[in-house]
Amino acid sequence: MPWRWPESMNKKEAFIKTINFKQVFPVPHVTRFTIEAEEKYREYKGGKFDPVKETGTYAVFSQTNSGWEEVKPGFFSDYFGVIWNKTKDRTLGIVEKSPIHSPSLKKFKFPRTEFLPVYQYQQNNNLDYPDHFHILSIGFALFERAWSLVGMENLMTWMLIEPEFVHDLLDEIAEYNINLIHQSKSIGGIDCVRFGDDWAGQYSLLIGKDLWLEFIKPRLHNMCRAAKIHDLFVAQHCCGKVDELIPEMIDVGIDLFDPFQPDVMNVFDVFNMYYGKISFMGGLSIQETMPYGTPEDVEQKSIELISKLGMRGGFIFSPSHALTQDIPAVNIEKMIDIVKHQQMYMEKKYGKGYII
Amino acid sequence: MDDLLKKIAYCVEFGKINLQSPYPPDMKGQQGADELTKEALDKGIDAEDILQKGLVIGMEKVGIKFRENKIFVPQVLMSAKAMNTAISHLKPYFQSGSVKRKGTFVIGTVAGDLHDIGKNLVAMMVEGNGWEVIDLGTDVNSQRFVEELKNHPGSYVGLSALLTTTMINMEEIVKEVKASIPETKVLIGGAPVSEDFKMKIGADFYSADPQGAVEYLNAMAMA
Repeated sequence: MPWRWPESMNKKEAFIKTINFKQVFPVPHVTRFTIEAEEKYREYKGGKFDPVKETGTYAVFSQTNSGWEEVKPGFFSDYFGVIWNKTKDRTLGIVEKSPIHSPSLKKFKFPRTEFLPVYQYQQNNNLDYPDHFHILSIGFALFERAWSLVGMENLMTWMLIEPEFVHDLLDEIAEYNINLIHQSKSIGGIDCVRFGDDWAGQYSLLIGKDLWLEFIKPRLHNMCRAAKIHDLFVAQHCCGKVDELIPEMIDVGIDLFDPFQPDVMNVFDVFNMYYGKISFMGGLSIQETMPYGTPEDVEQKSIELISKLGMRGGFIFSPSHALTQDIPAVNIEKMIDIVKHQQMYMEKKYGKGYII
Repeated sequence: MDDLLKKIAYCVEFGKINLQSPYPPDMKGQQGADELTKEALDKGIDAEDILQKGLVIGMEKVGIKFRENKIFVPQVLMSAKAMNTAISHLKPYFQSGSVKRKGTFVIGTVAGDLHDIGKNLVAMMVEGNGWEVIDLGTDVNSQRFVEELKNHPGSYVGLSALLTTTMINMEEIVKEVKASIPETKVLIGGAPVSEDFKMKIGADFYSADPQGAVEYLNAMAMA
């Protein structure tokens, strides 16, 4: 029986409909690049490449982790005074120096949220891409913000030996994020708040579920509530094997989870288990298929995700992270061609007349 | 003697550093690895026994519980702190040669990669299991590994990488290490690393968790 798609809508409407579990075709998709990968792909495309226009992505991100001051070549100070070493990885970098060295907030002043460059980005994005779904992306949202401020080993041990300090620290961070959400909303033009916070490694949660429930969940809940007051969707980005926390994310009001890595969870089982309760974005492996597969592998995996998950609603097709520079350009080119010509590829797989 | 060593092992397993430490809550006010190790030495217990029957036993349990997701990074860090406190009392015995380590393990995060939490966890577990660990840090190139291996003949090598973009540098390091000192065994690990990748680059062992590395090294030391 043919799959019928009767409506036309813009990208924002299609995205919203999808994360409300309605069937949408073509399946909305999102593609993002690391700085290095974008440069490499632009070179491959002869020097011209606009990632938003040419990938056809449905969502545009206004990121809080931008506009940092370069304190010496390759080293940047963020708004909290954390020094980041971006000499090897210009997109994320790693913490070079944390500003808090003992379990006390007495000498530390949290930055103000009124004048962040992200508000300008969201205004510009709205002007440039009025039909897209707009995401305020708060990177290093809570757990990551905490360890960037005090150091990862300190944070983790202080959770056990200085729990009151860690509770205070996380309360302050959550308050900062809540103020940021209110400010961003007052400027206007955002549809969704996305919290970036990696809680897991490849095989397990970093701090375990008990500590996550004690330290992270209550603040995440408050941050979600702040977004919901403004009728904003809430997305959670978390790399790693985090599927045991999905019911908790649903509980606090997360609408969309990414990057939905097939390398750490069975995306088909997880999607079916939580269908109707939380939407997913991602699914195409940037650990295996994209860097090591062939264009044929990319096609097979992409069409499998689009047909089995995307066509049910509740799934935004995307690579399972921003594309990295080790991915062959031919695989990126193939993936972009697939998402932009979904009907053609679906008919190639399932026969002519599958979608009308 | 056995009772004291069991207590030291217990302190390492549960991360009880010293008397002042409030962790774990159910051991508050009790002596930790620090005091108990000093007491053991004062009572004339052989440092080798403290290491093998106390610290190693405790750390082995930590490694197994971590592998089974019964404990997580914070608890492992507390155990490592307890172990390091105890080891600081044993340092003179290592230096004098009266306590023998199982071998030497040279570890580093590979060139281009600055991430260190996974590498640090492996280093802690291996050290806690009676090995000398030489941690070269992050962004380590093949030349540096070879140099260190020449300074410590017979060492094993551990390579860590978090990213697909940097794990490819493992291949060059394995190649260079094997070209310079062919008998060197190279262990690899990290989020995107796999058994297939190990085969592809000619490394000797891959483990998804630190305890796997410990078990491999211990087996090699026994062989």
